[in-house]
Amino acid sequence: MSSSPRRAARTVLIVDDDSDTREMLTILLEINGWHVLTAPSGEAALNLLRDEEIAAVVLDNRMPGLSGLEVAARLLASHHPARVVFVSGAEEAGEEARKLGLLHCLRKPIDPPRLLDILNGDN
Amino acid sequence: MGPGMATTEASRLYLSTGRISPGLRPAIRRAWARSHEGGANSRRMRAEILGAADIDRLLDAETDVIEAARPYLRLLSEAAGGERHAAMLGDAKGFVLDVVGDELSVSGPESVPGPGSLLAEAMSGANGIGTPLAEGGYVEIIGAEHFIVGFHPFTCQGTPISGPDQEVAAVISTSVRSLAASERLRHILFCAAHGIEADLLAARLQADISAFLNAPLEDTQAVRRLHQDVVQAHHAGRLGLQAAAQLLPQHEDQATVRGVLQRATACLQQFMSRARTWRQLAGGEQGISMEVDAADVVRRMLDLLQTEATVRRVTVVSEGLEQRLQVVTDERRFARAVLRGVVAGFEATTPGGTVVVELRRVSPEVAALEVRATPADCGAAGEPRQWRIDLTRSRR
Repeated sequence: MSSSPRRAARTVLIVDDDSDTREMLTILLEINGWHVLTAPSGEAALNLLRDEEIAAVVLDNRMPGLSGLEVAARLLASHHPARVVFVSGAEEAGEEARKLGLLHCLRKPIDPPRLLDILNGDN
Repeated sequence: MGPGMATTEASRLYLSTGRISPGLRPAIRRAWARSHEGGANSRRMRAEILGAADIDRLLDAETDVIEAARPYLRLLSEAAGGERHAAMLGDAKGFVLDVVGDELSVSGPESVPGPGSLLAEAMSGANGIGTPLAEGGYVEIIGAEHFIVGFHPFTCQGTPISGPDQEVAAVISTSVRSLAASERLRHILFCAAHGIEADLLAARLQADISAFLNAPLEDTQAVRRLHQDVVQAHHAGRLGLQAAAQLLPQHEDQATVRGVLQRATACLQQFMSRARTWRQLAGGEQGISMEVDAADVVRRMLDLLQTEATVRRVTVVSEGLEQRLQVVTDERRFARAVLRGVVAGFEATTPGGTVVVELRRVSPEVAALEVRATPADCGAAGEPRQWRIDLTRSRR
């Protein structure tokens, strides 16, 4: 599916199995000018990443099925251009993500302005 | 008598006769009585401001709460938008610790009292810091309801902040120039208060997990995963609060903003409830046997294990938890036994499987908790695996 380049450049995918987090983050990112897609699992996220033009991914780690780390590994292996922000409640998962090559790893609860800065490329 | 002209009359009455009008709102009347008895002068603020060295000591001693509150004071300031405003943090005695707001309100000629100023009612009369502390809850003070005439241009509201052990740790307040602005900020003030309480509890949780990891407990992995799950609700709450702060100044539909704030508040309250359960579970010291409601302990443990069940794609069915079941036990040991039993149940099943957790009376003296795990592929001939924890029932 194709979308306008401007919209694609502001499309972010939220991957989180927690519905409260998906909804709160959707509202926050929409107010800040992002077009938001959501996925409740790693598998659903990979499908969207294959079908849609997505500029950034906010990726939770601990989910049913594929973990965030596994999704990130597949994105890196396929050289997907999306900017990935990895979010985890555990320090060790963040370390593993950095070893994998992810540049943006945030620990829960995140500082929302910091996330917005990363998504906007102001980091 | 409500706020407005009548309150201005109440102020005139007090200034001319020293009598407190019975028509003031009850919380305000009580605050004026305390202010009067404490020696506050309604014609001028009896300024008690610490010296520079004492301010440094005060701010050093309160670093944790100042750091926890700063992002929330900024959020309140953001939510106030173009209004003249100040969001303030005070300590449990009423000393101002931090102020965030527009430049005029923070450092202009009519600025609000800065860090080191004591806003206890005995010094500063009824106000948005001292009065919520004295009342032990939320209070709004509108215009002339302030005891001191110099504060009459302001509408202030404040609420105490509880620390991790339920003690009063601080107070936050907003000061604006119109009642409408104050009303718009009310719900986000409540939510910000929960946010600060959640952050203070999260800091304690972090310390707990360090201590926990140094203790040789058998459930380390399970309890560490639970810690991650507990933090999820805090995460969602913070995101919602940030969204509401940005929505508030630009959104005509205040019901939408209130809806977001209600969700964020619910998330923060869920975090605090689960965090307290987790702390109880992970605590290192030996517990003592006492009468506890076994159904409540099991319910709280299952709530804590909700994400673990979701991640494992296991359905949890609870039975017998609707009614209290008093038992005599060491609550921490029992909670850990429940954790072990249910996690063992999760491990014995497969995605799509079911874990039944049943609390029941076995005899007048004995109650039992049974955990039965049935894998998804378990045919008619397959037997579920089963664990049982016996409990001594209370005689009451």
